[in-house]
Amino acid sequence: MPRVNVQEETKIFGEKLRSGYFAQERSKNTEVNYAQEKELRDTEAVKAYTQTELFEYIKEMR
Amino acid sequence: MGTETKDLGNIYPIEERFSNLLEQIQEVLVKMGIIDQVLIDTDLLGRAVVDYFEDIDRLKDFENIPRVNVDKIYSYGAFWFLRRHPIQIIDKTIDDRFWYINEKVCIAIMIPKMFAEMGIDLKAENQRFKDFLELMYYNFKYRLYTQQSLELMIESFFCGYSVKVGEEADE
Repeated sequence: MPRVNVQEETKIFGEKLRSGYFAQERSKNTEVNYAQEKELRDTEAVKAYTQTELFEYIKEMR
Repeated sequence: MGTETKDLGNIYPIEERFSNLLEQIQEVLVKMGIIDQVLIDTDLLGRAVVDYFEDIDRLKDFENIPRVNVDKIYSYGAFWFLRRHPIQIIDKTIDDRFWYINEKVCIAIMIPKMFAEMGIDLKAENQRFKDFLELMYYNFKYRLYTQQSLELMIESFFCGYSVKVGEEADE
């Protein structure tokens, strides 16, 4: 393809950049205050889980 | 501890996380019957917890988010726990079922949290899930993984369960 004009293309790129043409991908995130809302629940769940058959299965895995 | 770590301690509940994790690990080791055959290196455990919060802090800054979801909490936590291997075997006569004790404890800690998050009965089990446990164990022992691949795994589990429950609700 024929050579493009660098300055012109750079200018076009800059305009697109400032217009938001290049969308930024950001994490879609669900907020949670884990320490306050879920950590105690999880610690109790781990303790309760050690009484289950699946825990015994994990224990026997090789 | 450097200045940066002290700053993190002012922002995040690092000590509470360490305390909860230590309690969970010890409970699992006691119930496995091997608490006297292993040692929990609390410096390495502390290092894993600090590494986790440093990693999460960088992620939040990059993504410009105030908090992270539980998928990331579980996956990043598992990653740094496995990276630092805080549980050490001190009795060489220990059964070879426990040679990969860090990987095994990681699973025993992660699964009930995932169940609790989905509201699944902790006593629930089926063969497919046992196969999933075996695959997870194999991955932790032999395969490459990252915080992000673990996050995808956990979210896939949540998604699959939610879709199935949704199907049953629609029937």
